Amino acid sequence: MTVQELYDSIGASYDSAKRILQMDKLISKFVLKFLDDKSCEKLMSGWEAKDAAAVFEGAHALKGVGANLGLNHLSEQASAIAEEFRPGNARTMDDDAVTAKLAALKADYDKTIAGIAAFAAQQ
Amino acid sequence: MANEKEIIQRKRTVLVVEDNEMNREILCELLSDDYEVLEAEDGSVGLAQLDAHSGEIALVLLDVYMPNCDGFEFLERKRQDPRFDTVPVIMMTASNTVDDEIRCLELGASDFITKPYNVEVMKNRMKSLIRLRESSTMLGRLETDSLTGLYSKEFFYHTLEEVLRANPDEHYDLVCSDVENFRTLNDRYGTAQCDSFLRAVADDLTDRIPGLLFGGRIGADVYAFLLRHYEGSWSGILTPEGEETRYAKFVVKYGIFANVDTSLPPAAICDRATLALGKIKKKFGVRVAWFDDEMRNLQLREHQIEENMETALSERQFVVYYQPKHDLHTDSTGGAEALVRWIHPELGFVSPGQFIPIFERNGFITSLDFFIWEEVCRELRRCIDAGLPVVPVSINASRMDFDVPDLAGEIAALANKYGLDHSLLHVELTESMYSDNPGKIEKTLEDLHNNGFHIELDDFGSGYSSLTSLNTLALDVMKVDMSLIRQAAATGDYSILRFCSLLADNLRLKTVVEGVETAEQVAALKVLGCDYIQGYYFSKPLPPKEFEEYLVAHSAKEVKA
Repeated sequence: MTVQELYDSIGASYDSAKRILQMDKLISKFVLKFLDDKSCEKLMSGWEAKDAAAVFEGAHALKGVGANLGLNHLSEQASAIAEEFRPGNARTMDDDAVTAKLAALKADYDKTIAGIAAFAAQQ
Repeated sequence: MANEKEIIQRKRTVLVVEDNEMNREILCELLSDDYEVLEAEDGSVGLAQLDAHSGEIALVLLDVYMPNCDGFEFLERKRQDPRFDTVPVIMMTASNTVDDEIRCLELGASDFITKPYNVEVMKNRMKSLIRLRESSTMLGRLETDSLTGLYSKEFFYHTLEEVLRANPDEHYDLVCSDVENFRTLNDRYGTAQCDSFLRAVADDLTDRIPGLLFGGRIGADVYAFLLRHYEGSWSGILTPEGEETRYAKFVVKYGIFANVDTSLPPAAICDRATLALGKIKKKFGVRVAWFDDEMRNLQLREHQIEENMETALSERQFVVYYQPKHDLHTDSTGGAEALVRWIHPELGFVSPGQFIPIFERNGFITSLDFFIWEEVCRELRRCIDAGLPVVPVSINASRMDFDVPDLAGEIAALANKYGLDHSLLHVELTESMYSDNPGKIEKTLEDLHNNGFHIELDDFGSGYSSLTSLNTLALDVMKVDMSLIRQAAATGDYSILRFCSLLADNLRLKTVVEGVETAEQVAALKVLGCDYIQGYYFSKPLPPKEFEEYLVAHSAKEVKA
């Protein structure tokens, strides 16, 4: 599997990643590190604990990391959560809506991780 | 050529402040080709990095949201410290955060990039901000010399200082190159040819010096290069085979200060390499010299002397010794030369050979000379008052004394203060002084002479003796250089001394022959009709008390005062 095939299979944007990291070698180096990234975990556990600050920090981090790796599908969803919980912003969604959005995000995240793990196994 | 310039172009250091490890790593990866990258995981670590690398960090890339100390707090604290205030900051923000951006701008951020990074945009913004800041802080300083492509002198010093301050524990060497007789060559071969030679030398050295960091043109034909300490042999590098044929009539010499003392200011570092260079100037065949322990000690000694000289004068550490001049006609002491000695409480006896040249360079010699004048006057007065015999004392004048507006008037005032007959004071000068500014020297000597002071011409027959000076200067005494008596004694041929004596006689000058050491020499000089003899045969220079005793024992029956 090439790194481009990986991106296509998980619904990420290879073009974005390429624009930022410029070389396949670097894209694969960093996308593999995403396996160890804890921001999604922080976001989810923050929500479990109803800790708004942790939710924001996790979402904000996931948004940034995702954007830099071309994982736009994750980054966009994380962005919506981050705005919802940005300190000073008024809440616009009810908790059920957030739970639903996080479930969708988690599904995409798991799929992404599974794809990257498969890619990692080949390396 | 472009490639060579990149080699000597120093990498700037940037600081990345970002809490997310992966984002930080990505940034470091993207920037590492062009910059040295420092990392911080939050604002307070970032501030600590700024503090530790003050003056070295060219730009900060700053994330907004971080735990502990966020981007806003970082900006607020940064602008309160004048050391960091001018370091530009680029904020890394998300695309939809206008309020944050405004707040950062208000706090002094310079620009933004939005995540995800567009590498080209980011690098260009960084480059232009760094350039802007450097051009405003280094206003008027040109970074590179247009002829050689090396750094300009100011920029070289500036960069040298930055690099050494940032890496005080690293080992570096500094190499200075210099073209022998460049001025003459420039006149002879023209600017165009010399310029192309200078360019070639700069290019060659940039290629050849191992571990080169950067080089600068610190003088018309003087370059300096900083490199990582090099242990290997320099001979093949600085003076490679076949270079003679390429450089033809040009000879380049090198001074090396190995293991640079990183605590020294840049100019002092270059001075050390050029000091080594100075040692081999005009020495055919020697091309490379090192700043060594001997030079270091010499420099330390010089420094010590300069630090101590004022105190030495005020604490009267300078002592005047007197060396008798023996009158061959009366067979008694007919005069003395005042010679200064420096007895330092800790350094001990400091040789005049060491301190006189330093004082002549820094101008302190005139203060010392006036001190000697007054000491001699005081001593003469004391002896006269005590009923002891006195003889005329000659004092060495220095080149710079003649810059004193009314030297004759000043000395006369001193003599009068102590109520001394002016004929008791003689002024010794050397001929090399005369060649400097003949008109002024002639005039001052005439004034001294008209004031009743006797003038002695020192070191006659050595170095630059010119017979014209005998005719044009108001002289009373010719002091024949000690090399002549040594030569005569060694060869048994006294004809030059005979000629000097005859010449002095014809010009109605008295003669003093210096450096006389044996009875045979005394006998020979007596036959030649010389007037006075000075030398170890009669006495070495004596401290005042011993000289008084000597004088009592060796004076003529009737004392002339």
